[in-house]
Amino acid sequence: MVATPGIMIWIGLCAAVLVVLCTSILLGTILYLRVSNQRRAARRELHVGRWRPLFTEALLEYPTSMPELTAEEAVEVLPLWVYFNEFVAGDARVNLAQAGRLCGIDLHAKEALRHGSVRQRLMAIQAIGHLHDRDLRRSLRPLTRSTNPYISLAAAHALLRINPREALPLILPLIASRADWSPARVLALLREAGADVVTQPLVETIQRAEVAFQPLLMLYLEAAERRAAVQVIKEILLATDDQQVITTGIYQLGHLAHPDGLYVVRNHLDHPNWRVQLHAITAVGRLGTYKDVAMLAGKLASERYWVRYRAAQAIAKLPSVSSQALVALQGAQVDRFARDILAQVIDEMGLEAIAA
Amino acid sequence: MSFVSTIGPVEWFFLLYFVVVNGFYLLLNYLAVFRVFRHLEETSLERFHVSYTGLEPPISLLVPAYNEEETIVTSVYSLLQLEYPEHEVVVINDGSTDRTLDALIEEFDLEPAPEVYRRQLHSETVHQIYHSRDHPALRVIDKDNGGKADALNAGINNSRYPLFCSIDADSFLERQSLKRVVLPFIEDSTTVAVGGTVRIANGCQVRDGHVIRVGLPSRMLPLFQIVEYLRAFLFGRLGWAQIGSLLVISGAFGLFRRDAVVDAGGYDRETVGEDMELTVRLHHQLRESGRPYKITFVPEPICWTEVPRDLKTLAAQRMRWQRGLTETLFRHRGMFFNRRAGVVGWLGLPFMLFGECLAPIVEVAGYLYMVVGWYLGYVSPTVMLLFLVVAIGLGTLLSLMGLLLEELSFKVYSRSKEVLVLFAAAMLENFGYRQLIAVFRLVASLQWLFGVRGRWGDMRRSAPWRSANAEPAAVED
Repeated sequence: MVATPGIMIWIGLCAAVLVVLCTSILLGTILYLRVSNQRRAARRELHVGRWRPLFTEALLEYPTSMPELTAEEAVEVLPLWVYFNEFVAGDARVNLAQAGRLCGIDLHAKEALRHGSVRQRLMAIQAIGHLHDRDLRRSLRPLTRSTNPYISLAAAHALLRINPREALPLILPLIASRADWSPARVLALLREAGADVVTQPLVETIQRAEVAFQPLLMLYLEAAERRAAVQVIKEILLATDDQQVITTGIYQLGHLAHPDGLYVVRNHLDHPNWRVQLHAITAVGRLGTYKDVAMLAGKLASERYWVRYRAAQAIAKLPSVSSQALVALQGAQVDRFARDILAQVIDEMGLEAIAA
Repeated sequence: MSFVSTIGPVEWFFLLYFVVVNGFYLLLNYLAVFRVFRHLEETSLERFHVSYTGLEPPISLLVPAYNEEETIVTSVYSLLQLEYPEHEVVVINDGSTDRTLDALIEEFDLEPAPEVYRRQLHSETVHQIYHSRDHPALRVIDKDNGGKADALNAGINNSRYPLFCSIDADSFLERQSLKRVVLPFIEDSTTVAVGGTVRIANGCQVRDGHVIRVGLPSRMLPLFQIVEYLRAFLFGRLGWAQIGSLLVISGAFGLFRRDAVVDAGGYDRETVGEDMELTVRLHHQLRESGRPYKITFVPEPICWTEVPRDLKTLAAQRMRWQRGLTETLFRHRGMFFNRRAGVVGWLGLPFMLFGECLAPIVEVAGYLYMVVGWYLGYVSPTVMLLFLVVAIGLGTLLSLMGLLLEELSFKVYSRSKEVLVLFAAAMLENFGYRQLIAVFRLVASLQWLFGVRGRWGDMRRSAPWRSANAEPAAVED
């Protein structure tokens, strides 16, 4: 079919012009972004160049006066001040907080919290956490329930920094229910709060938690005092038949490596679930004694490679098990798989010793 | 005569095809914007946080090597130096006919180890497993040649950690790549695979297997591929991941849960597109079983790779990709519009078939039809103009969108001149390069149709940065 001119030509031309126009707009936008990025970088350099020496000076001596921070400077200087705070402690931190208050970091943080972008709000929350400001703290509480996981977690972190004892009852229920909070970051902030503060409320939260939340909460026991952590895991293991809870509990007992957990992990060496067995074997390897060799040797002929391998490793790690004893154990095995896996582990041990 | 009646059905088909496919890609880029901004917000506090949390699972890095005598030692050193709490490097010497194994034995003081080889996945015969006296985290598997998929299966069999990462021998990683790419596994326990962004190393300055300065190649072919990577592989995949339908985790870099891959049967040794096939099979099996799972993508630059500098290598690579795509779609045809296949079966795979697999056929036929028709006079100049607008104009817009997104997010290319060069490349690649790629892919489709056996082909690399006495060197472009 042969096309006719008229409207067709116009449509073709319009489409072509539209594409050229869009292309030009995109080029213009790209260039604009490039230029504005360069300007921003130059501004950052200027402001950071001015304020870095002032903050460095404040680290050494309690400041009595500071220049006023302008709104334009605040965008770049707020992250700089937060960054300084992350690496200091003691008097230097007190001095830095005072410097922040004197130059008006608190006011700019408050402003950013109200009208800033997500990134600026995150930075403002961090700043408030470092300022330990009781008035500003009130504005953080509702933010812990924000649907944005980064905002809510940052708010929780800041509150913990300001007053961990007061913040934990508010935050622990959230830790159990917020599936969108990064477990890695939660653990980091609990560790920062300190085992002496975290242990009791965390243990109580785990005891009260629904079974579905217990495995995740048990992982956070790394931030608690070990004896109390082991105790609560033992209680939970006695009361549950949930496979996920048992697997995590046994894994965590091995990880915490507290002697109080030994009896429990020994009892799980013959658990019907091979993953539980695996963690129990690893845990016995960390906590056990020479008496456990016989029990672990029984696992060397398991049909599961990982059970055999971890059992051989666990035996090798037990106190008073020499390489001669391992070789003798290997010779005594009637099962080929057991002999092979012990040979592999003996070889690995030799290599590790040489490397060390 | 109305506007509609002046265009014949064939012309309509070609015009609509390009509008729909390019329009969909524009939509994916749009979705990618949200993902990128969320990611940037998420990482804005990263520098204030503790580096490691103790929750990072250990990772096995699997490096299949076939005739990598010149490069393998530097590759292994750069992998051993990665910043991560616990990782092992497993090199699989896939029956190399050069001195690959000897080079490893000499450099790392390897010795045969009485290690048990678990044959959970099928692979060619393993002759020996070596341990390094100097580096306990390094092991080398020496086996008969069986291809990349076979080598990876052998590596998985011998890996010790719950996550494994497959790495191409011609790729190298950012020092913090593992720390970044493992995050989705920590944040969501249902994650089974994570893809990493692969960037092009041609033109970059590299020392000890790590990029120290990003640059652009001066040759047009790698330059066009940079635009292509931005458009399709970075923001395209990010868009797919956003809607839960990421179908390819590049063989150059991907992190997988070992047990999920073993349950799925490992890499398929019969396809040349083993990376895509595995990703689709994971979707297939996990959807069939009804288990919740996540296959996702990390947008930050993780891995750098050298791309073909000559047409022959490029043709072989693209033909292999097209064949891999076709084989995968054919194998998993049962997923199409399957009620349990979700977004993968109802959107991802059908679009892959329509917009990717059939694209070379439609594109080449479209160009031929329009040009010949215009020459013979049965396609009017106006329809021809419209065709060029939707085929080339929209393609250009798509490439520029990729560039814009890059400028809004990672700004890997720091100099203004580089942005202008990329802009020019984004315009020019639509005049000849894309059509040429379509021809390569069409040939691959026809070969598959007529049963011609696919092969990997050889990659010609410059790799000056991998030589034993590596000074900072530019990857040849």
